[in-house]
Amino acid sequence: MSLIGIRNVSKSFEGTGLVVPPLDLSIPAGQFISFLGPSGCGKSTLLRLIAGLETPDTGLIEGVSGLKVSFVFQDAMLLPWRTALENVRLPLELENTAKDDIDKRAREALKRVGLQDAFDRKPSQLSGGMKMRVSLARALVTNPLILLLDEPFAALDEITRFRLQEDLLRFWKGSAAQSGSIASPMTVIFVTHSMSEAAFLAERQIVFSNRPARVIADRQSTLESARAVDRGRQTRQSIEFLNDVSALQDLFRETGSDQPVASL
Amino acid sequence: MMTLAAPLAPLLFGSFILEFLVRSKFVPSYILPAPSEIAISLYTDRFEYLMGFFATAKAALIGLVLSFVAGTSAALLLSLSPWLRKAFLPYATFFQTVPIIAIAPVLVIWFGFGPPTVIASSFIVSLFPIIANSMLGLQSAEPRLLDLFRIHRASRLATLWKLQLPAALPAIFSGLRIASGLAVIGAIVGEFIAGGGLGEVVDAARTQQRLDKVFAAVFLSSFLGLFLVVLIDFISRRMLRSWYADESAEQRP
Repeated sequence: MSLIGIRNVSKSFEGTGLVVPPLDLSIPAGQFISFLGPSGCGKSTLLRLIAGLETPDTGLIEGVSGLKVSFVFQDAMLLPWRTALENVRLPLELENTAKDDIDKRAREALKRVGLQDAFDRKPSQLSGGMKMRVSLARALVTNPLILLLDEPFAALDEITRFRLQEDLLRFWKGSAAQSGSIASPMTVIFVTHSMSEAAFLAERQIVFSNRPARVIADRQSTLESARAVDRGRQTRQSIEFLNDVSALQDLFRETGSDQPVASL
Repeated sequence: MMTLAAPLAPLLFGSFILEFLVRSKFVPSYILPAPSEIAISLYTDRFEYLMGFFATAKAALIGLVLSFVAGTSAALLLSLSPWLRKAFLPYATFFQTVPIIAIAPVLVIWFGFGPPTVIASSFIVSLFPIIANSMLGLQSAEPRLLDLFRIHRASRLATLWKLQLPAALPAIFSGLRIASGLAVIGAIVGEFIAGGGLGEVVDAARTQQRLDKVFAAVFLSSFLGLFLVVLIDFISRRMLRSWYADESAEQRP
């Protein structure tokens, strides 16, 4: 089984200093993993390093280059002059997909996120939650092997956030079924500062300290395999879920990482 | 209604004061013509003014269109590579600083008397703001959208065409707006030397000490500039609105 290997990777920026200390991490293919840490701790930088948007000062990242990667930003980051459908078409256009395929696949992806009635709307005519759905469709339309999400739901209201979390899990499960070959389910790396979000979504949670982002804990979720069951209201009210959230809280308290970050 | 009434009020009030100053012999009319004299001149020589107005308008418009095409193409080319930008951008500044009044006689040597020189003069003066604003606009694309294009391995050309150029539209229009006023000034200066249009009317009236005609022509040329600015504003507002949202819906669910 292939995996993403982060080997001795570090990164510092002028002004902020060390953001990612030398770090080792292995992520098996198909895993839903979340990077959890306080705001500004460097977890987003680590995600950008994995995406290849930043180059590490030391070390290397294995198992990403050459694979189809999609990235979802905190704000939906849609092109305001393109309709929902045209936004979803974009990655296919950029990757030179056959013209006949583009439209069909973009429509399917928008239907999958429940926006079959909003094909021709511009982003200015969509709600925050709908914009994020378009953004998810844009990320999924290429059938990526690696899906990277940088606090995608942080700016949404709680009800919308819960629904999108459940949808995201569904898409992830669907990817394994859809790909046919068991060898290529979608690996998801989800960056968040919300403990309940990390507990609800991820099979495995990496907990980071304040900047520079050291790994405080690398823990498996105690919830039943996310792949096996449909998660929803019952999961959020389950004892296991609440225990997981408080376990994460304790980790931050014990290491003092619940203290505010020194100024950026 | 208010939008028209508000700027008209100072004009009427100012004209009234000027009229009073001249009529009361406070200011002699060879220094400052009374607004009524200008109005009478506008009427009696209306065909001369009309011909001049359209000649200048035509030259300024052609100059503006040329500098729009040349300016945006230059900006697109320069944004393709940092090397090109470093090599050629300093020369674009030439068009900002060139003293058009000194260059105009040279233009006559190159293009002869008449419209080609006037168009060239208008083009030279209006080119820089279009290049500068287009360049600025092309570089103003949201960094995370540039990241998105990088992740999907977009070519340099695709990034320019599908992201940077659309993102630059508002800046390009604001450059065009500045350029439209300058294009009229460039055309008038060209006409001073090469003849034709309102520029020639001003120049001829000046030598005949006909200040009423000078002022009438000046009034018409600034009206032309204003007209172009309003026209560009109208087009850009229409275009940008349909660009960013459909007409049908203002509501945000």
